[in-house]
Amino acid sequence: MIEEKTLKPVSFEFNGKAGEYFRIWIVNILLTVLTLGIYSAWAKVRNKQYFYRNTLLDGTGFEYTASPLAILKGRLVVVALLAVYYLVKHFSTGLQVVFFIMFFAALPWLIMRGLMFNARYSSYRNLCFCFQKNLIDSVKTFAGLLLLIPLTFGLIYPFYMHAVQQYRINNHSFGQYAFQLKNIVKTFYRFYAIGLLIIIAGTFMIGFIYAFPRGIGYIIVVPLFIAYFILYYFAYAYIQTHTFNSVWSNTRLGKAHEYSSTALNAPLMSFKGRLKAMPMFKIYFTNTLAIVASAGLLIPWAKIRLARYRIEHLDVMSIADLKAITAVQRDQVGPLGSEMGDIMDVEIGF
Amino acid sequence: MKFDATYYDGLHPLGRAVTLCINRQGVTRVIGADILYSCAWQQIVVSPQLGATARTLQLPNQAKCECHAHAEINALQHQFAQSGVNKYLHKFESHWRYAALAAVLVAGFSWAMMVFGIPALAKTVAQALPVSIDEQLTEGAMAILDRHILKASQLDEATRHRLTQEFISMVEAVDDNHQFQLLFRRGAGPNAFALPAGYIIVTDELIGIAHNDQEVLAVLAHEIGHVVHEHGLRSVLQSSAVALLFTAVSGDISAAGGFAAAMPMILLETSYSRKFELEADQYALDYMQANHIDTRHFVAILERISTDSGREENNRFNYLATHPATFERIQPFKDSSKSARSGFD
Repeated sequence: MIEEKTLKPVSFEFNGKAGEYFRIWIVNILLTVLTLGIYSAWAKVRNKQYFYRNTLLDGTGFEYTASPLAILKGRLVVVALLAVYYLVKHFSTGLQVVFFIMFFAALPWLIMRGLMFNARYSSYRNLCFCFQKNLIDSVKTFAGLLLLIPLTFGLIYPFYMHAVQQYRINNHSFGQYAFQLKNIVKTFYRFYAIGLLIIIAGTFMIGFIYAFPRGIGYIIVVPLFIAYFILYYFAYAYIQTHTFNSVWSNTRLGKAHEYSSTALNAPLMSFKGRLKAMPMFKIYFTNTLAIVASAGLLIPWAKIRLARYRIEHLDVMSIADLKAITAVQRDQVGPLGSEMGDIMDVEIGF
Repeated sequence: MKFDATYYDGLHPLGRAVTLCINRQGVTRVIGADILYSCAWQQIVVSPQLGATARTLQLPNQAKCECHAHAEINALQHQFAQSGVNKYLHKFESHWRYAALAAVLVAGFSWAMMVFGIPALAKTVAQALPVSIDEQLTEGAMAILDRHILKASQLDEATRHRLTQEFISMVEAVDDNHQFQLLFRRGAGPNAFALPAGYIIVTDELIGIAHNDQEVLAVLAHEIGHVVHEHGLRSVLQSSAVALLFTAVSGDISAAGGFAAAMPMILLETSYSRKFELEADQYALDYMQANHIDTRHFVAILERISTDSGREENNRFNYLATHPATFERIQPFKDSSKSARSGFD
């Protein structure tokens, strides 16, 4: 909480409209289908650009500037690899294992490249973000810790999720300023523990009702299944909400000493997450219902709604004078990692 | 032409108010409090129009101008640059009637792709691939079946010998380059499977409930149909294509969650496998008619299998079943046996 007084609230709003986005989304899908997937690269840029441009910080939107052609190249490589994998899967377990090992060995590098690509082509007021090339921490997190999760029976899962957030945030910078997330691993453990308790308590309840004489148990089988579903969703929303809030509330943008992970002086920007578990749960749950019931047609509405809620519940405080920030020369970054992440769903979220 | 914009120099995140003046030759001057820059309009990279969001104009000096002057920019683009595709894109995206048309086309195209495109593609590819691929597929599957599901047959040597001889004379007549082989196993209920290389596995339980050899041969003909039509390889290719397609598309719809995305995939795979069953049935029917075997035998054993395994195959679950409902399958055989009898009697 250093020098918080010099920071003033800055407006942070989302301007996307469900109807407008629906039309962009459906035209994207049509062109993707008609071009047998080629257009998906352009669709990705347009989709992403829609959300970026409609996210206004202090009245100005973010910009996504990646070239669709570069993305297409990345996608073609990934699709070729995937096609080989799907075929290999049916022929030889040995080859499949080799494929898997290769994929996991490359994972830290791919995630790092994905983050680098995304940051390099995300900009605000004509200044792009940067993700520092940091392979060592990526290997530690996405190879080391990830493998330890099953070995420790999941006990280090919150620790892993915390490491992921630290890796993601602490290597991002804007101009010569770096983002910095404090170590909040204890907070992570607390929220995951509560989430787990919610699930355990709910499961006991379900087991208890099942133990009733057969007549009652049988009648309420279907509602019970739904109850479990709701319970799981609630625990998920609870964890998502609180980790989002604590991550953002402990993140600063400021000048780091010698670009290291030590303390920052004079923060330029700070954040505060104000999400609430219950509304988040309602959004997740009704989004899923709406998407299933509409055979996917309400996906754009669901995405806009979630984005709006998230952005409207994140406060940004900034110093008034942004003159202090200056651009740093950036290199080009290839799209392979980002496309691998996109297609294989290696989403680590922003 | 003249419009206002915000100027970002690309060095500091500070916006400065500027006015852009463009003359008839396309010479563009950017004028602000302490800015005076000039270039040709053609040198400016204009961002495509997207919803109601601001446009950016990237100048040759890497500075950007941001504004909402869509009408002016579109007119200038029309006059000095070629941006036809982007213009139409925004037009499509701004009208509900085009969006509705797009939705209908997407639904129609996906349906056609799933129902006709992928199966036809898989069939062509399967026929082009060498038999050695079938053999590799079979080895893996056979190993798994023998390890986890099937046990050695306890059938007496005489029955095995007799059925094998009949099977051999059956496959000798088949015009196909698969190496057919009949294997006896136990477990998995009254059942028979075909593996792509031409292995046909029949269980002791099936032979047990058969009243005569013709019934077993009818089932074997059905399994040979699976091999001849390359159903094993085709289903591998089809499910790979479907999985690939769904992963590619769901990249944009991940908000739907795993369940919503997996549901149509499961429905699709079961509908594919039902089509294969009907195709194999047709093969069995043709075989039996050609060899003057009464098709009632197929009806009889199929009915017995479906009651024996306790699966009350019911019309309601038709769409989720990998095998079509029994009554639906036996109808052509019944019809055929009727016409055969009226012909011969």
